[in-house]
Amino acid sequence: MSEAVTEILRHKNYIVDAVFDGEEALDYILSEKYDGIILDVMMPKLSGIQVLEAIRRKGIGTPVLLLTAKAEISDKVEGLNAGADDYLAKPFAMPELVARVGALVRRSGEIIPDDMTLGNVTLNRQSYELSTKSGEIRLSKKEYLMMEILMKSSGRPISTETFMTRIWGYDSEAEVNVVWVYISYLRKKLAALDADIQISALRGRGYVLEAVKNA
Amino acid sequence: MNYFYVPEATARFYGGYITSLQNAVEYILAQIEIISRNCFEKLKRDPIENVKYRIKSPESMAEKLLDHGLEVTAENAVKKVYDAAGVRIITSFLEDVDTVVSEIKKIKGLQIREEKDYINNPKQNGYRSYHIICAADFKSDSVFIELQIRTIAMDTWASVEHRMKYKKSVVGEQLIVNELKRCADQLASIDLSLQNLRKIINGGIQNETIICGGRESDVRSGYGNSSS
Repeated sequence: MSEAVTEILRHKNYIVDAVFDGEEALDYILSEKYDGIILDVMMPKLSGIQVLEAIRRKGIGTPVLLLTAKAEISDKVEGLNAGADDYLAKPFAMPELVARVGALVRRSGEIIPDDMTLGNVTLNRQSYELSTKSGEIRLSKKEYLMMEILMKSSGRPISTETFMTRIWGYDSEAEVNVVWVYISYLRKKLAALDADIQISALRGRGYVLEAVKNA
Repeated sequence: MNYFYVPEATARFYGGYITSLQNAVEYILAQIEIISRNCFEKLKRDPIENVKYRIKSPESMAEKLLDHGLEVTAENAVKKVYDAAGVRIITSFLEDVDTVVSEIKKIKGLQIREEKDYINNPKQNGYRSYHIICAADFKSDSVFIELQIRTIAMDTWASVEHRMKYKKSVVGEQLIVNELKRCADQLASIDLSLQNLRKIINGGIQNETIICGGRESDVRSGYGNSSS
């Protein structure tokens, strides 16, 4: 069935990565940025619900369509509570799947503006531009990803390990110190732009963006 | 005194002022040499990578005077605009600019007339540099001299931008302007990264990897722990 779904979605001009168990699904979701995710509840290794819970815990808000085997209410409720945006009970008609995927992706497109703002700092998703009234600076791809994660985390600390898996990927050869080096780049750049937010280190928890305390 | 070479046409244009201009440039060059040496003693490193200087050519000067609605005369060139004599100091790192600027302010016999910080306040096109206009009083006339202090990255950008200014391009002018601005903002970012890397190499920043949830085993295998 995966093959048929993949084929139809590709035909509708979506770019599709197909995987065959829950662990693999999680790996892909953590290392790529998708517009939408289809999860089958019944997957080997990790169930669709487990994958869903894991990615929502990591703060990934990508819309998820859950495929449930039975049209039982408890299944649907469990899925939606775990953070699914929509569900579809098997067996389903392909046109309905395509329509639901379209709605899912449309929804995510609407809520992501190009500019993210925190304090006096703006980050542009298209240009990777970090700016304040005092000027603008172009971040590198990885600096940008790091800044985006920090801005989206809304006060929750992000650990070195989380940065490592989300930016450098699971199997990366990069050594773990790279996270702190990039944090120090961002700090330097925020300071150069007279930002009123700064990256603080919380012992044992990770890094967080917070308002600059006036001395 | 053995002055640096000035084309004959330039000497003719500035007439009686040319010696004062050359004097001012020579004096600044000598002072920069001293700054270099003193910094090397103190920091074990010369912040100054390169120094360039020039007397503005009669052609560019005439253009500038006309732009300002002034008559093209040697007197106006020396008294009404400030960059007949120019010295540009190129530094390796961003913070070296601050070091050089503060040393320049200590030079005796130079009166700072104006400072323009285009590093913290870049021009719209992305131009970054620190400008100091000063007056140098010598035996005869007081002349203005413009000092520009900037990093290698800023200097590279400025020389490309300068070359593009007068060229007709095969692609749209706005595209070139946008791309130059993008490059300037990327270079500014890289200048900050390099400055920061230097500080890390010198052990000037505390590594937070372990306290912020890094896997300890990975840190040990890397160089992160060797400095502590």
